Amino acid sequence: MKANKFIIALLAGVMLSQAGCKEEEFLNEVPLDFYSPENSFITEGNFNAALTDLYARVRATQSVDPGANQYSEVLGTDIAFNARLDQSRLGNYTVSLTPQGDIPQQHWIRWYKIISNANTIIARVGTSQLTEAQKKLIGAEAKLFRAYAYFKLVHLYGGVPLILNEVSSPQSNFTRATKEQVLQQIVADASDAAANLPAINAVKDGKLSKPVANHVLAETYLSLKDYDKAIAAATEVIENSNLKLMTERFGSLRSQPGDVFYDLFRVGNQNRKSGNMESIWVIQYELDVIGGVLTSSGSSMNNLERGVAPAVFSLVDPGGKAAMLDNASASTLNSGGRGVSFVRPSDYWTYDIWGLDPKKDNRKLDASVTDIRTSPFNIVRDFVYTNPASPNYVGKSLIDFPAPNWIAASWRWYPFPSKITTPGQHPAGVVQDAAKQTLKASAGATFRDMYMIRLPETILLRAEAYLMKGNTAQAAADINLIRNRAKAKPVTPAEVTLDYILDERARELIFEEDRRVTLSRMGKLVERVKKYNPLNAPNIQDFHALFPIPFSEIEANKDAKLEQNPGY
Amino acid sequence: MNKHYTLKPQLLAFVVLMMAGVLVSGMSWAQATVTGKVLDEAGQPLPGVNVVEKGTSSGTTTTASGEYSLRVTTPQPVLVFSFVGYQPQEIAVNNRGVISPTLALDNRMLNEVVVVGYGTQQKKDLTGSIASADLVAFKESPNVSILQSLKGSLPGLTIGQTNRAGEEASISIRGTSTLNGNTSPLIIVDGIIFNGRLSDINPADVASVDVLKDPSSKAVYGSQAANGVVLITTKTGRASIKPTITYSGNFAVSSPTINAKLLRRDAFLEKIRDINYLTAFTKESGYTELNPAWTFANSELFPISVAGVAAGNDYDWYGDLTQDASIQNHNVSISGGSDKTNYFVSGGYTNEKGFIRNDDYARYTIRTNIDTEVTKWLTVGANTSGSFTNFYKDSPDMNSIVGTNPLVLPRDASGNYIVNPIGDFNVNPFLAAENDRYEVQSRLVGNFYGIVRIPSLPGFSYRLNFGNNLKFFKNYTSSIYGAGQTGSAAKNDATQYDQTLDNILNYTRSFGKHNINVTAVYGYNTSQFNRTVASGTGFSDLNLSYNSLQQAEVQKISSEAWEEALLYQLGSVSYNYGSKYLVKATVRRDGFSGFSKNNKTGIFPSIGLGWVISEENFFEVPNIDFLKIRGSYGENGNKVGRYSSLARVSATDASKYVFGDGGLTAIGRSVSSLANSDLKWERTRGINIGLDFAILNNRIDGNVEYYNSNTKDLLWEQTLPQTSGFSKVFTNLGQINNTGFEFMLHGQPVRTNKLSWDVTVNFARNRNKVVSILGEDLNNDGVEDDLIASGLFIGKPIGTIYNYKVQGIYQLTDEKLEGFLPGTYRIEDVNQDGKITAADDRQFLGNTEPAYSFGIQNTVSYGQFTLRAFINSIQGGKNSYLSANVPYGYNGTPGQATNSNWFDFTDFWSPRNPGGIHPNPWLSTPAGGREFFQRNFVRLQDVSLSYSLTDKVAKTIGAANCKVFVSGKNLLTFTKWKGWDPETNTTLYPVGGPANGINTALGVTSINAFPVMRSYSLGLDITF
Repeated sequence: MKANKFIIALLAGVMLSQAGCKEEEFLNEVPLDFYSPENSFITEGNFNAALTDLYARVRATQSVDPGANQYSEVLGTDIAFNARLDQSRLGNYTVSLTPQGDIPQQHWIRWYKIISNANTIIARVGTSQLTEAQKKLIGAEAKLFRAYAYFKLVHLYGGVPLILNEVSSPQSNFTRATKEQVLQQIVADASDAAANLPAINAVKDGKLSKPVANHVLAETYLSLKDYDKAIAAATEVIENSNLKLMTERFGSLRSQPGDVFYDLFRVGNQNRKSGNMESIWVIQYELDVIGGVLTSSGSSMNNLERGVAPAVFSLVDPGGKAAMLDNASASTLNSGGRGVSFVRPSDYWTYDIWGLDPKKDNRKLDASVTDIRTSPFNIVRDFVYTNPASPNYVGKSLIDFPAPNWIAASWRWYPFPSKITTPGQHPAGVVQDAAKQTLKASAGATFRDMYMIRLPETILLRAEAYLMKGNTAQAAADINLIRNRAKAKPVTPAEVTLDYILDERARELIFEEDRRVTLSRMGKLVERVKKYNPLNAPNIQDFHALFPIPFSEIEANKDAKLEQNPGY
Repeated sequence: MNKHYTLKPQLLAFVVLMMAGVLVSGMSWAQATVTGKVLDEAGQPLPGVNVVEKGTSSGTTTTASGEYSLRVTTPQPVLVFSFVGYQPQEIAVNNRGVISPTLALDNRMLNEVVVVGYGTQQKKDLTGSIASADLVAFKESPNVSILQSLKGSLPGLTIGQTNRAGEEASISIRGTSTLNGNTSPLIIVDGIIFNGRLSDINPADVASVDVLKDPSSKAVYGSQAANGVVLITTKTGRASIKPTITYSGNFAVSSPTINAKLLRRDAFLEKIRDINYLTAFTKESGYTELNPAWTFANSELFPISVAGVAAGNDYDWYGDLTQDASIQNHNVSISGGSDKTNYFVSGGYTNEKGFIRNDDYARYTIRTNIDTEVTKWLTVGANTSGSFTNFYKDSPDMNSIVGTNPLVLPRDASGNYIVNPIGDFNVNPFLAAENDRYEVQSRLVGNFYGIVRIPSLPGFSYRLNFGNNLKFFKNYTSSIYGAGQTGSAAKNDATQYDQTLDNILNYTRSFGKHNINVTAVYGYNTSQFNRTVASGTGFSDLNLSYNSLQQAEVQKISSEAWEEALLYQLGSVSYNYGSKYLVKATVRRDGFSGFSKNNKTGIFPSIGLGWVISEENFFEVPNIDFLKIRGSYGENGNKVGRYSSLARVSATDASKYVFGDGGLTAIGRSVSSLANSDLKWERTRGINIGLDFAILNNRIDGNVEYYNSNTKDLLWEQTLPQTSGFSKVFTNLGQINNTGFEFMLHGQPVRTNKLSWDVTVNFARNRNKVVSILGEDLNNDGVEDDLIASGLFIGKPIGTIYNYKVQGIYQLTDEKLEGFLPGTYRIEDVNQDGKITAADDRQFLGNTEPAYSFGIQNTVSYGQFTLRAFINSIQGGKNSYLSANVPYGYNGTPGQATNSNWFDFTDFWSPRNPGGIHPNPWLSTPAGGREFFQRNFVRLQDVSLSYSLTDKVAKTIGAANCKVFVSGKNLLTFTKWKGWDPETNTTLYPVGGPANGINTALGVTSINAFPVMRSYSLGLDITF
């Protein structure tokens, strides 16, 4: 019986020792590798991290990644169309712009996530322990992101749900605000930002600053038809912000042949630190640094080169040999980098806006239409065979000796602007053979920072405002600021129309401006697509002026009705 | 001859004296040897029967011919003969030298013991639904995992196919009872929760597999039991048996059940012409006659392929990147025991070569199970095992193989691999084989237990289980071709440690006809996980492979960690009166860390009742040997993924940014999910009614089950409008109902001296239906609203397909809706507005779940031969078991379709093949429809023929038993499903994301396809 007592005591001991731990403590859940909202919005560092996320998200939407936006900023507008001429990639409006389609959904969810994150910052700044100055600054930056997102949404979809509070519990009762309400909110947010953000020379490269806010204000006032305020905001940028148009050679390739317009788009030449005084907001890319997105091993983001440059590596010369040395693309102007021909500039851009005749030989341009933006550095209008294994054709022009598979498929080569690529400046990792300048198939990214806003755009906004007020003289004067820099023939006040401004924008800003939003803002999308875009003219209809509201949003928004745009 | 036996008298006397001396001093009584042969009722010898001298440690087992020989040591020896499935017999020796008993077949129902969780129970006393696997039936199949041996053989248990080396099969029990909660059953090995791959367990070590299906049986594991419980028990030694050494091994060769091939030159060129039919053929001929002016240079073929046309290339990428698949299994075990100690020691080696080159897998397993009675009141034991798995090298994935074409070659003129053979950035699949890779998963299991009995409290025991499970994951790779040929390397190390501690108090007593069993459990289970990944890209060389990552130009590190805890208490009472009236009641309380703060614990009660009618005196129905009715009712829980109730702020790489040229990385963070402070247990409450019977002198027996369960507070990731910034939130909502019917029938139509035939048929049918979702009626039609955005419809099954209806393919001259082209699906325009929109034109097409499934196991024995055949089938009834079947792969654009390949079962539309059943996937349309087909099949899944050596022959090679066998797996499949095997299922979604969240069975798709294999094997089983 002694043994029994011993055992029982032992048992009791074991069980008690286990019961000793508190259940609540035992089941308490502490995340080990992620944060919670409660401990993530306290210090200035926390808020800066939250703002950094917004920059990264804007970069992702701007980054023309083929999976999501499918280059819809330019495809199916007057300046570009699907090079392959099939129905995909906005080749047919009926096919691509459907409520269940990808394009409307991607734009919507990406901009609303930016709004949501900005709202969280704005809400939490208020209750944080930051100083008043910090609160103002951080709040202003977040509000400018919100304004920018709504600016995109309101011009793509019309009046959209206006959400200004942090969403911290599930919500599915959104309704559309009016376009006017959304525009007024943008004005409110951008005004706050214009009042509180630092000057451009007081912020790090890539950061939002006062002129960004004023640019957004100017463009929003144009939509609101408040031209005086638009002029005032634009003037604030043009005259009072330490900005000026670059007129002399500068930057990484300044000692090599070229011109100042060419310099604007070379590697390392976009940020203010490089001496570029006309950049207002630059989307930052950096090679081989985490957070810089671009890598030597090839990048899935910022694939402008891949999307726009023609697939010259696919050409076969009239003798049946590969057109290119080693059958590979090259880091040269001739090749345009490693393109695959998705986005082709329209003849409107390639010829019409420069006063050229597509049927003529445009390799050597008439002096009367010369403009540095049409120089061989800035628009590549010829391709020269480079395959030494084909001695009959090497060094000859494609236009003189057309490749048979180019005649059959025009997408394999077409003139393109050199700003999409970085000839001679591709990183070593994507170069196959440095001596031959050949590229691997992993090339295709545009290896430089990208302009979100550049001073000429602000100037053209002011010109537009002057024009709308009937002041064509001031409008012409503004446009000529840009044309003079480009060494182009000045425009006369009588020539200035909205269409002329759109032409000038195309000359200066192709693949920089969000062409779809510009056209949509002016109400010119359908009209100009019908006029200038042969692929989309037959299939665009009036209701395509606005995107459909994504069906997935309408369906999930079960507690209220999200009205669809007419026509869809 | 006689001379030989003539001994000198002195010598004889000496020997006798010596023997007597030994006997007197050693044993105190004379020894005698008893021999004999144990037979069954049909007069057949019974091998493997335990023969033990009662009250001693001496014993043996019968040989293949049923013979035994045992030296008895006690004054009045009594021999006990016992064998699973037969009634044990005790026979007094009474100085006989030969005893040859006949063992009577036991009623399978009555004395079979099943594992029920925290103990065992006799099958006849069960009140719930527990299925026990017939492991013998699949012993001869070349199965790498125990799961493969259960496939199709137990009603209500669904096991998925495996088609890659070392792959873990999916498993589910009695349909889907949850939406986003955990769907896997709880796996318990030797009483301890087992997380991870079941293929870490050597199938040869498994003694039994029991599956708990109904609420009352599952209730002992209340919290995690909603999806059923699989109890695996490993082998132990047997008391008082001399060591038995067993070797078993087999070798199998395999090839795909579907002999599909990628297109070769001629067919490939034809495909390109068809893609370009508008120009490659003449319009006048209706695009059926070649246009002589057209050449392949006019297609989107890259120059290298155009050159390949001219060069006459016809390279067989598929043939050269696949291999003869094979499986080898070798197992050795030693088991035995003294009267106080039992042991089982085993080692196993498995080597599997998959169908795709380099898809190799090897596994080493070791196990030691030992227990010993230390004193009268204390028994201690340990089940320890180790499993060491090596996934060897990189194998090319099917995508990269399909992303080639026969016009291009893998190597250049100097024999080096071409990195991008088709000229796009599809990488040469041969390069994967060049990678250096080390992928090892190791698992160490140490489960220790002590059992305390108190001599003055008969029937009482206390058991302490202490389970430890440590897993190591190592995945190291380096590739000179990685990161755009700049070189990439990575080390990925992770560990997981699971600990279980159970205190189990048990009291089992019988008072007359009253039998009572009381169990109380108090325990916990915790898991901790850690991962560190270091990687780099941009190496000047990779001569040091992944071992010198600091040489990378770009270096990246990341780490993750989590932990979770489960705490539980259980009380269970079972009572029966004379094995006639049965009751079992259980209450379990569970706490899990993953739920919100105030909802961490849940209480799950259950009760089961049984009535053995055949035990009643009034029951005198002839030919019915056993009849029991049982019913149970109870509630089980389902837990949620850890951290599901918390809002997350994530700091992903995508949120990082670099301000300025040459700047440093700025870390970005954002809120990535919403919190739910009300998140609580999902509860499944249900009934099970069962009938067990044995008739015709136990020649036919079986059971029938009906169940009906309702799951409430479903764990559900509700879809939100992303206008809010969030795509979904974890919540509890709604109700799902599952009802089902199962039966299992076993019979012995033939049972003669030489020939016997056994048949087991199982059948299962499950229906689920969404009863309630949000409980809202916003459109005021008096019926609760569907949640269409999430694919949930009131009154319809979870797998309901709500999609466009395909009505064939548009031909050249058909009138088409705007945006549709010849060769695309003709989709029904339900509201006739000339547009196909998700809002107006989707309709109910059926559902994805099976209607019913069945399996038939046949065993025919004739003399030394045994033939087994198992047929398995899943059927969809009228319009269930549907899956989309559309060509999907590298053909989303004309360029991809032109330059890469697909399998020859793709019967696509072209003007020359207007009857083609598949659309042209490179054409964009305003609404991408998919066509759904039934996956019904009947399969001859396992066949084996074995031959056991007769004793005489076995003895000549020194063995006790020896068996050789041949077997075949997946030999025949009857199905109308096109493309790959109907059971090849994956979470592959068509372009554009998951539509209705329905998985796409592979069918005619080309990427990610790893074919289901047919194999033939040869094996040997030998015991010494």
